[in-house]
Amino acid sequence: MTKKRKKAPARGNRPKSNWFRALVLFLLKLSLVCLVLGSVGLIYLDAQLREKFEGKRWAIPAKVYARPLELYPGLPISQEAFKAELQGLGYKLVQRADRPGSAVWGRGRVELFTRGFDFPEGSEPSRLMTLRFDGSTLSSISDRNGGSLALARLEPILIGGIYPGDNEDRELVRLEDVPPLLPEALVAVEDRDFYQHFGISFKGIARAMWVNVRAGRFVQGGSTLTQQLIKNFYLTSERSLARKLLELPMAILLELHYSKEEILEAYLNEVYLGQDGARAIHGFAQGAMFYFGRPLEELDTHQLALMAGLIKGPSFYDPRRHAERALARRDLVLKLLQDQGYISAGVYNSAVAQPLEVVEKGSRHKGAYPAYLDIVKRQLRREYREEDLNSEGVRVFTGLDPIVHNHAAQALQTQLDALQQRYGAKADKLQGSVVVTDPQTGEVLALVGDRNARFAGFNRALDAFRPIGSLVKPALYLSALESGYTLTSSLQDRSLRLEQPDGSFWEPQNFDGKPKGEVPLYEALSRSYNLSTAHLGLDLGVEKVIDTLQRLGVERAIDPFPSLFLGALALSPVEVAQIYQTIAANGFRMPLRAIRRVTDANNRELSRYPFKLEQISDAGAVHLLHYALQAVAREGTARSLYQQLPSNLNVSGKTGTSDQQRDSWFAGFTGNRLAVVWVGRDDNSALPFTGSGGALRVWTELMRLETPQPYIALKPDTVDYAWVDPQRNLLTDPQCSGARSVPFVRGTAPTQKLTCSGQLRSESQSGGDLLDWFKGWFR
Amino acid sequence: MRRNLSPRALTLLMGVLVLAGCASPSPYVTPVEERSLMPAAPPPAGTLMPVDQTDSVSVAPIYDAPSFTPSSQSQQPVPVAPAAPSETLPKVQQGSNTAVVALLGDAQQAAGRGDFAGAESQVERALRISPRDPQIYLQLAAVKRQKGEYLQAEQVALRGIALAAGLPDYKSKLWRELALIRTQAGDYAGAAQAEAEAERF
Repeated sequence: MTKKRKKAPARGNRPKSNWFRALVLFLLKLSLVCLVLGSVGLIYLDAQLREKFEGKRWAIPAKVYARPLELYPGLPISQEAFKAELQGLGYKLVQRADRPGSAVWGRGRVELFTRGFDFPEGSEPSRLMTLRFDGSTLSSISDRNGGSLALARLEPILIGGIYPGDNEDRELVRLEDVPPLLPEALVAVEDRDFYQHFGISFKGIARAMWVNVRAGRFVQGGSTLTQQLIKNFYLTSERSLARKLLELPMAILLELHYSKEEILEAYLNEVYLGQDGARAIHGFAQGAMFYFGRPLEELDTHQLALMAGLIKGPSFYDPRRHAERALARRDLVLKLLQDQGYISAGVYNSAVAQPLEVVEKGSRHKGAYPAYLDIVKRQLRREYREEDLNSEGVRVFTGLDPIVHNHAAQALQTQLDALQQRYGAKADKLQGSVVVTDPQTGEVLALVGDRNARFAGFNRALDAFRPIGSLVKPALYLSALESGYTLTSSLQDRSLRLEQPDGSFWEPQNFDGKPKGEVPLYEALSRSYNLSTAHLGLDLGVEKVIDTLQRLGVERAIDPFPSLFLGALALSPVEVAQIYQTIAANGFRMPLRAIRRVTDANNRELSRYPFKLEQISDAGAVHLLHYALQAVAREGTARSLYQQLPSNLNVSGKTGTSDQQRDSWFAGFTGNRLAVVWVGRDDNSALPFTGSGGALRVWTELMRLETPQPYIALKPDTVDYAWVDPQRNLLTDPQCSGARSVPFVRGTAPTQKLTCSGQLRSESQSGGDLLDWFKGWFR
Repeated sequence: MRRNLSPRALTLLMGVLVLAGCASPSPYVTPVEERSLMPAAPPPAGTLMPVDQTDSVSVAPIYDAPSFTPSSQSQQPVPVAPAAPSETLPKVQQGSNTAVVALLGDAQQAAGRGDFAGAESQVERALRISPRDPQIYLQLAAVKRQKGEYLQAEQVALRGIALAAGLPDYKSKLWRELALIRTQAGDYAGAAQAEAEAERF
């Protein structure tokens, strides 16, 4: 009010003063609004800043691990395979194992300093141990003091992650776990006054300007580490004035709220260090794995210096593409470190003498298992939300065995190449897929979905549904054995013509087109005769066979046509593996498992997938089926495999060829490996070979590389072996021509006996028979 | 001298050859593991159920080692040789595997603390190392029972029984475990049946 009165006398200058007053008032109001807006903005900015810094700062993709290698005396593993495992883990081969992640290689002897790992079951300590190998067996493990160890576990190989949309890959480190030289190098190179300034450094800006002026171009920026963090952390990468204007107050606010250590730790985890295809490498932990294939804690001076130098321009100084520049940059960082007193002249001299030591892009393991990761992700996505998988740092432990995988991938590639060479153009564009499991536990050990196992495209192991041909027959024969047929039951192998429900005629043929007459049941399976199988199937009824297939583990709907008996059923290789898994495990169905356990970032268990099983068939019937499946390999359609494999392996398996030879299959198992192989073409065209000519070769090569354990059958109490003449389905003496010892479910063996000359014997004729008959009472 | 080789000696020679042929893995043999023939391993320290060695020899197989007589040697009156145990019967008696012993010991401790999930994890590790060892199934069945998963416990015990062919001691223990599982699950008739089976061994 007083103002108004005072101003009243000046009314003479009214127009001018009015205009002036309005302007002042406007400016005053404007600045008030600006101040309010600015304060609100600042408070908002501050809240944002704190929320992001204190809340979950980064989205941590789920990590997927291979099985950890369990080391124990008696473990079947060659020293070479063990070396591959260590290389996958980034162990350094040295003269003296004096820190975690190093190993000394010797003949039959490896000295190893493990890293240790926090498993959900408990943590494995980091320790020094000596392993001794005897041939392809780990014979002993001793600790530092020479005491023997019963069991030790290597850390699991990281095989992949589940990334969010922006494909940022990240792994966090804490400042105290980082080699001290790294933060020192950052300060020395990027921001000398880091510990003195309050977020922005005028000294730094002045220094940078001076350097730039002297050089006549832009060589150095004046940004502090804090500013750089703000830039990376909160702001988009576009260069704009608004961004620059926001950067300064935010840097100061950040410094007001947080300690230098907290800011430095955030910087270490945030900084962008390179690009791996679509995957952006952020943070030094990830950078260490990306460039050196080793954990950050284990890097040497020259390696740390290289990474500190990369910040300025990860692409410009990319050590893989521009080794010279990278080397010069690294040496400059080392020079700065020495000049500023962080390292001695001696350390400097030995560091600059080192080569870059950058590993090949894309470690052996990252990206090596797309098909396996696929099955893992599909299972996880059924049970977890996508954002939890790619942001919460979930850890996924799987059963993948990298050694087995490499053998499977190699077998598929080399054998398809060989087939192509052999058949020329008729075998071009061949594709294939391999599934390997542990027949005793149902764990999926390896999955290959493409001829090039690293190709992350169409996953044939899961998504190629192809007619399984004769692979269906074991289900049919199991139905027969469960229904009272024996292995030597006589089957009719003669021509057949049947009208199907859809009006078409079904007229199966044997592979060579000839009916075989009367054949014993096991032989019809081992030689894969179609006519006798069809007759047997018709006798059993299609419903019974469908029921058996479902009990064995097939979950999809099956059309009830008689053509099912010969494999008019399209399944994926993984579904086939489930069927054979149940057979291999003596009639206990075990759901195939890829994931063992899922934990959160703090090692708390989120879910586990325990060993589960359910008996679906009588042990006796399955034992008999194994006999026939072993005959497939001994004397039937898969006998060629014993040209490559030791005869004591006792392989059980079955070849499969679909109509017009579009698909070549083999499914089989030994004591500790079950594998299903499919070979065919994506366009479904005919192949120049059958199941035994194609898929079996891949299978055999895989097992040759694997050197698996033999399958040793256990005879159920309900089964007895008897010497029979299988062609006539009668008992006979062991020494007679063609006599076989065949298992029978108790009480189902033939009762009449033949002499060696082929005549029926009467019971009283031989004392031995009487004795046998007598013994029979006590079985 | 050659002419003087007597027919008797010749028969003997051929007999030896055929015998040798039978002893080496013949291509048509379905090898069946007969663990009762093998000396039982010494009871590993720290395991819940040490192998009772006394009755392990009593159940001898009543049939000859399965074999096949090739037609070419049809008329040779040669006795079928039982396969040499050392050659055709691999060691599957896993009780001596120190890693398994250690893991089962850990599992037992965990179960003792009431940490059945932890016990299950350790037993599963053992299972991956030695998946045909009945003592692992025995312990896994017990853990599943203690977790109240009776259906799975029963299946694990049944699988163990199947794998304990020729090991009457384990069979008996597994049947007894099965009886316990069924009792706790309320299946008293089934339990009595399992108990009766256990008595047979």
